[in-house]
Amino acid sequence: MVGPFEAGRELVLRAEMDVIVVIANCPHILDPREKWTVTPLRISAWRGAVTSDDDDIRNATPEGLRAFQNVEDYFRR
Amino acid sequence: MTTPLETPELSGTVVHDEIVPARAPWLHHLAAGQTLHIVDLEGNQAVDFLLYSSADDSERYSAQDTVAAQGNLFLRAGTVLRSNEGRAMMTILATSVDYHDTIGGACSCESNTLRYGHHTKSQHACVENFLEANLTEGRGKRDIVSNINFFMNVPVEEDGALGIVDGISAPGLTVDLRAEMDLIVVVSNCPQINNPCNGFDPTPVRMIVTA
Repeated sequence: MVGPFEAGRELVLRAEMDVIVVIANCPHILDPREKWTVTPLRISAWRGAVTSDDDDIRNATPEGLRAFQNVEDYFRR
Repeated sequence: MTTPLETPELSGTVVHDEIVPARAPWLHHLAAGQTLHIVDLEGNQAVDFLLYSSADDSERYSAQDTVAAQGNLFLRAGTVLRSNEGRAMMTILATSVDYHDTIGGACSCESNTLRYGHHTKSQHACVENFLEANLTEGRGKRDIVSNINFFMNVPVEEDGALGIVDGISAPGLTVDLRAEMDLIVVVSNCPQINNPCNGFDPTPVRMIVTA
């Protein structure tokens, strides 16, 4: 399945630790179009609570839960 | 145990021949045109593998560039291992294994805590081997990028699910790689004992360089 896809597709990411986000909005290396094509992105960020202990994603697997626990351990130092 | 060490039929002159012990790191400089012949001596041994350009070690192996350029996730005979600059670093000339992995990554103390529990944090891991080897030349954790796992079987299912499973390598199986530029090869002979990538029993591998 290759693009171009319709406009307005979106993605929501929750920060689980303090992070630096770096984005390069550039033509995709596998885009089959003749001309390298690139269009604008809209990026929005908002405040929110730290992920709660009963969060479904946090608790989805034992491996995933230990990843969250390692973050807590890291920020406790 | 002792391993029979007959020298295999290789083209060119042998310029280096070394056994990397189970669980150990290995670092070696190769000149463009030399061939590295890796032997999985006892079978089912993952060989975690990184490459840096000798001329400028900020140019290094790139799993993404390698996979995107060939349009396939698996490393087979004919695969060109590419750098983050898109240049050819090595070519897989031949291999007696169906395919090799470059998406499973290297184990670390941290990944051991996730996969197997915090009681495994003190166990030796590939990232520690990569660090031990790289630090001898001033490279650190920032320089460790997504690696190759020779002889490791990471099948990809229809839905994108990954497995780390047994059964693709056997004693004496090999991969032959030609250096396309002057290179630094960094290897972790994987010490993992919690999954089948080493058959739960890390074993030695043999590195033969020909010119």
